[in-house]
Amino acid sequence: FQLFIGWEGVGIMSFLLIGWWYGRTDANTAALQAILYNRIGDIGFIMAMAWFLFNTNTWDLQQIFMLDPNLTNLPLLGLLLAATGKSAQFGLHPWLPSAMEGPTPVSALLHSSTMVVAGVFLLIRFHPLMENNKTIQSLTLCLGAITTLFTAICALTQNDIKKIIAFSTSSQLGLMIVTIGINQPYLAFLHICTHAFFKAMLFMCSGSIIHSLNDEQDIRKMGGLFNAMPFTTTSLIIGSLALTGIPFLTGFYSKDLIIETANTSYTNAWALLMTLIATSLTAVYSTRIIFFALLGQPRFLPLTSINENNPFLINSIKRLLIGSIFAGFFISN
Amino acid sequence: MLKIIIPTIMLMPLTWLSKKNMIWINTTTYSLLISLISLSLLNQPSNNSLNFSLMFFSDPLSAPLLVLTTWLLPLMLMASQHHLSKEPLIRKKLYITMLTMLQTFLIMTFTATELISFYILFEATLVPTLIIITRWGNQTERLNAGLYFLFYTLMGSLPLLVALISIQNLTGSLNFLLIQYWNQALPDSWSNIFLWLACMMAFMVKMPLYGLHLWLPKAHVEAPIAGSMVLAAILLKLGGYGMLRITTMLNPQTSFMAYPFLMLSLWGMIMTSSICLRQTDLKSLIAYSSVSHMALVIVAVLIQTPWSYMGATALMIAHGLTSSMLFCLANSNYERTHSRTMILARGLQTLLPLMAAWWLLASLTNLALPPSINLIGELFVVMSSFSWSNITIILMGANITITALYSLYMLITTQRGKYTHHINNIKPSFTRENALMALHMTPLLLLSLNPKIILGFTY
Repeated sequence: FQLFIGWEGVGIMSFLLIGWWYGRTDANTAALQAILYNRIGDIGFIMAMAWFLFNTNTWDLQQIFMLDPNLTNLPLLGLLLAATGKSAQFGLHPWLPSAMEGPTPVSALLHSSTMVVAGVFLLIRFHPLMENNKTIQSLTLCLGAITTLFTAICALTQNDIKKIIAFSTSSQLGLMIVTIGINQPYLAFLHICTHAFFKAMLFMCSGSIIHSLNDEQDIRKMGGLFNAMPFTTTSLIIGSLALTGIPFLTGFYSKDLIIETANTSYTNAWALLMTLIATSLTAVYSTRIIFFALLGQPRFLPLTSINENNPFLINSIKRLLIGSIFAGFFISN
Repeated sequence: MLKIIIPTIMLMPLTWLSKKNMIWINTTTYSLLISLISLSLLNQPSNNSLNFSLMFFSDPLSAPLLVLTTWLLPLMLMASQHHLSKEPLIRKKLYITMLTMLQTFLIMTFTATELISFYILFEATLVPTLIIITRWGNQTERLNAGLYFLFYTLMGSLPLLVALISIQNLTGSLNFLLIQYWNQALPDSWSNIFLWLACMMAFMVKMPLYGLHLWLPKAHVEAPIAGSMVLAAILLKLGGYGMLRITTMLNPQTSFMAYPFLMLSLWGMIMTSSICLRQTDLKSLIAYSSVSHMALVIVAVLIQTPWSYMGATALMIAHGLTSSMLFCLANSNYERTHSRTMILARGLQTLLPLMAAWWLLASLTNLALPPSINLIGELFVVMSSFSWSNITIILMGANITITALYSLYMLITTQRGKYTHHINNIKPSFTRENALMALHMTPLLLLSLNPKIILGFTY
């Protein structure tokens, strides 16, 4: 029950924060859209709660695991629906790109690292029940695989820097769901933690770029920032490298382990193939951001106040940068 | 119980004898004091009811409703101050007298022991409400609204009178306390089916059930603010309370008689929520949302499980406070723009941020956000209907989604977006209005901390 309180609570906070600039109509519709998809997921959550109440007489996780009910298809389907809504899996995903109407720190916190992983977290918490149910595992695997491939392809065609990163988040979430589908909840949790670092940093960097270019979010109108904003450039490149799982940066410790486990486990070959393609696409769209935003000749208006002298912003990015590089190493040892 | 009824009756001479500048202060203060007395009733020591006399009693079901009723009278008085400020003194006193009379009848209804006295007072509450709606409403449609209100309810409740008299003849008494012990299963026959229908129809119309709900949007929209508040908060709950009392004697017919009403309620819940999404009139939106929430209560009462009764009582109290608060908010908009159209008063968050905060809280409780008691009521009802039949969860889930959507739609339309250009000459929020909202919200939030009180007699 307490989980439900928090679950709904973050949904509402998401609504309030996406609609922060409430004078802007797009922000309001995006906020409402977020709530709509979240609520549909919540129906799944409530259904699972109802089933648990009437079959195991409790909402207490420990008691449910001890009782170990058979035929857990219905509640696990409900939980999967909840995770789909909250973590923007395929079918309930459009709210995440629209949620980029919110301010960048909001996107950095809510929609890259913490809130969207609530769905994955829910599934991780219920993994003892999922271990015994092969149907649900296959369903999660396929759902995650479809999500990561679909959103990775979408990310290739976007022109708004925040939307690219949003789709990349969605793709990584699909990857986490795939990990749960191959019965590795601990790896999924590891990926949650490491992904938080570099995704938040990517968002903050993009925020810095957007702010210094006077609210320009289209990457076709950016370029040549390599020399103008060195610190942001560095962090952006390192973040993208970590995202793709370059060895020994943070992403490697979780992402590579996931790929290895998926390859060596007895699992659905189609889902595996989709996941591998999606992972390679990750490298593609990350490179696209770097290419358009940083390299080449400047394509923005000549009179801009490009600066990196806001200490709050720079310090936050600095800390996330250190995390992105070293956290994977520290967590897994 | 007389401790509450006699002071309420005495409020009437109080208004007639007060000086011109003291009428509001006197009545509001004394009605607040009366509500504090009724709070002591919430302390129910045992599972049986607290019996005060042969005629009045209170048990865990009626006590929270009683406290809600007495709590709302000062709020109603505070809310009416503005639109009555231009009336002559005698009419103001008449209005307050009407409200007080309504309050007396309501208190007696909720604490009545005999079903016949319950019925008489149930009908008696119609009269002051009718007078308030038709005399002090704001548009010409108020006459039509009063007509619908009166005749729908009368048509529904006349069969109830016949049924009660026949039960009195058969069993010798209609006292609640005795009926608990007298209870035998009704034999299955045609006349008993009609008896069941006769008993329930009055409350179905009052609740209202989806097919019989036409009076509600008219009455709520045309009534002045105090009328809307009391209608939404209390009078609808009279239906629920009556149903909860009477279903104890109506077994076993309920198991098959309830099906058509259950289907109507489940479907009606979704239909009225969907209508809310397309409303342009703010009060009408809140009225339809009331129908939707009450449909949940009907479903809960007809399923007849301990959890569903808990959910029904919690939802009644929660909805009373929330709807009343939403009507007060809508009234604050109406007093400024003199129109109920939503889009005429948008972008209010820029100008009146504190009021926007109250709007936010009211909308959040309307869509049943945890851990408010609205959620507890809805959750219990959803759980019990899931046990009754697994498929109902789809309809309930759809209702929850649409409720969230229209509540936030209401919030966004009135608060957010660019403000209108004619908005810069509205008056800022009065302290009285802020106090009203706070007094609505505080019990709601406090009850979230300890909902045991409102969970009714099956806790």
